Amino acid sequence: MSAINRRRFLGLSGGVAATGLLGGLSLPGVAGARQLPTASTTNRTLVVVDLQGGNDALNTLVPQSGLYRDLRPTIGVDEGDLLSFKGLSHGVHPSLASLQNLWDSGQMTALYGIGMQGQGRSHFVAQDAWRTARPGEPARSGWLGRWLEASAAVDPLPLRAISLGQSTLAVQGVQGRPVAIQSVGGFRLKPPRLNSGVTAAVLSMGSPLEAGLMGQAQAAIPQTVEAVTQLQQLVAGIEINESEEVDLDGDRALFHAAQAIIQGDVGTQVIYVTINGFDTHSLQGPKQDALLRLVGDGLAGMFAALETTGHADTTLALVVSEFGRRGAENGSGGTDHGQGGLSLLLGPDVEQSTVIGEPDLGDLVDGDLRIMIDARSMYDNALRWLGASDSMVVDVLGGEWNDLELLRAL
Amino acid sequence: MEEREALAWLGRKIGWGLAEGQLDAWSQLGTAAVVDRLVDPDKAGIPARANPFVDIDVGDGRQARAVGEGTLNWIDNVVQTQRPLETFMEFFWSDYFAVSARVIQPRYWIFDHMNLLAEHALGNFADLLQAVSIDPAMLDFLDGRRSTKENPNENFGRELLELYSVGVGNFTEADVKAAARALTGWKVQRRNGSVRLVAFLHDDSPQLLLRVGGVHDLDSVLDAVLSHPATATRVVDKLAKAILGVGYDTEIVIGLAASFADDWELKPVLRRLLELGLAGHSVPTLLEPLAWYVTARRLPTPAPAIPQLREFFTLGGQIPLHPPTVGGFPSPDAYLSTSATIARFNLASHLAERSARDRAGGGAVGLTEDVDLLADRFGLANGFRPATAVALESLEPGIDRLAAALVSPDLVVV
Repeated sequence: MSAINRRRFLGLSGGVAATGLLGGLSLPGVAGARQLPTASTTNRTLVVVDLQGGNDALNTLVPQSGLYRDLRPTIGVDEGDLLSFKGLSHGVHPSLASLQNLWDSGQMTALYGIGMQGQGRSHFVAQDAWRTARPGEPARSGWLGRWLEASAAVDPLPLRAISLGQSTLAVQGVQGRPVAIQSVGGFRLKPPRLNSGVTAAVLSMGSPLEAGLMGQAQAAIPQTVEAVTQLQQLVAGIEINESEEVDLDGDRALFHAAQAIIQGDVGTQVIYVTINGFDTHSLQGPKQDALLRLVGDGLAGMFAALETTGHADTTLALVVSEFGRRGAENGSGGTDHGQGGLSLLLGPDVEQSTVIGEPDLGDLVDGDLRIMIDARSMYDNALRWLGASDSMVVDVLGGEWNDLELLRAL
Repeated sequence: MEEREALAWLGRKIGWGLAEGQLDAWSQLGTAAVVDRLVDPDKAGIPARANPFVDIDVGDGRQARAVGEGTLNWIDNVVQTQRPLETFMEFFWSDYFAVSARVIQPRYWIFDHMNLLAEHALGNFADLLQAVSIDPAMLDFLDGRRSTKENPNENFGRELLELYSVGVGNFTEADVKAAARALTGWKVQRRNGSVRLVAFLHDDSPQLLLRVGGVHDLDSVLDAVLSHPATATRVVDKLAKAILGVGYDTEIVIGLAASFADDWELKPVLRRLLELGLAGHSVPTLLEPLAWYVTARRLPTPAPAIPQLREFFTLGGQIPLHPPTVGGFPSPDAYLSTSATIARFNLASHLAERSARDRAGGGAVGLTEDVDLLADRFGLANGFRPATAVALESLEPGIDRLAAALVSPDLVVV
């Protein structure tokens, strides 16, 4: 079915309100759902987990350095609590115990001292830098948003990209068109008296499509109708946290939702999970303990479940954060904004379990870990893994960043 | 542009919708007089804004409830405003000097913050910046009240430079530290919100800030940031984006920043920007959730049920008094998102259903009998676009047609 026909079909058949009428579309649990209609669909899914606020790298993967204890006299992770993973010289934060299987099976790479040139110490500047991959430029579009836009088929799959937890610039396209679903929670259309004729009429306002913002406003409606129907079936019964506050149960559910969406085989290529609370200026210990456990257990559980349905092989996870925190702890049992941070790559296509980049605690820059790896080198790998061509990667990232080979079989 | 069309733009863009008969009344007054009334409502004798928070019980254990009530009262105040530009600017400043009622403690300090923004909304930027800098809500939100000579906290100093004055690229890390030191020692009494500078917690040593020497206290910090040319340019650019739209032609505001920096009076700048917009220099912009909601209510539709209203602002991604970050709300384009589209669609349905049930406020349903008249009532000078008109005609007049009209792209783009 062509784009317009499919939309018209959705609209006229009552779309949203009447889910039973959607037998013609690929939906979870429907036999043969993997046969999606567009040729551009790949079956790979990138899951980005964004630890918002700036995760403290030094207490996550603790380097073997006497200087660590000097920098962290009261909030350093106790030597006896640190986990040792096979062949890894760093001590692993005890909350990340469940990642041991992924490490042992060669599926986890850590990038230490990662950052974005000129990211600074402002949350907003650094988050924009990481999410746009264009540091220093006005923040209008995200790195994944640009890729989603550049690689979109004429009739892109409505669930290609989904933000879980919070909306994010990372998946926003240049045009400001909705290339990603930014919230799952109330993702339902309720026409008056559930009269689907209203939905159909509103859909028909979309053609002919005009230029400029009016066209974007027109296009937003059919894209919305399509997306709503499928997504609601996928995440039925999963209570995710979409507030900016930390809610451990609701944040844990973000991983369950990601898993359900991947297992639904609806052509989702990007899932962007935002978890808040990593801005640990005070009382860092218990906060980071709980949050890292959430992330470690969430990712390990997701991959284990995906393994059982044959989806793990087509899934790659990145764990990112806008900056690392300052080397020395502050006077409030926490740490202030820093520079070089820590990212993780997880999944069967990871080249090997290793740590790339070693922060030199004797060579801090203004008290912070030095940035030694540009985050765009990691993004380059992820985009190629998703199927981006050389020229597309260069367009999206604004240059060549192919200095690291982190994934196999690209 | 025809005067009536220009005034319709003004009503839709700045007034967030047109009340019944408003366009006719404005046309009779003439553009110049309308701008006068908007820019200087005191002089025009328009009754002052009522304090929307006055009756709210902020007693123990009522924080969340009080803030919820306050937010709803504030939104209602916006719908009822007799001073649309002042209201527009109050919201603008709540985005510019974003403080979130979700974050501060106690949360109800947001009320005085909003009242302060309203008081200065059309006033003087230098006075506003001074007042906001020692506003209890801001002192809590950006940690000023926790910043002392022994342990200066950079949070407010950084945002003062990055967001409230010169902007990224015009200051150094050393400037952040200097501003932080000079602003140490401000304390707030939790009991009554009174603010004072505590001498022994304040670092009075001279600092170099933005190449200005001898900076040591709030006044000298503000003198330094206000004497930097980037500050006026940045504020004027923000105002122009709000009034003329993101992507406006920057050539047309050249010179405005220089005169603004002479006295920091907002009225002349706002007047000039309104005149530019009336002369056709605005670029199309999406109505943000608050603006769209107020536009729908001016039809008039009856007040929505509170759960539906909450859901609208939450899913729409713009909860007044609760900006998501210190950088404020997202830019208008963000509200093309699927979630914001759903938010509009569902609230339009709800408002239409309620209009049919509510005799007093049900005039909106009656307006749908004639699609051309409905377009006129919305201030769409050239009527609905053909596809929209056909779509609306395909529906029965009444609830369905009203809901569809409210979410039409024609109404959402101004």
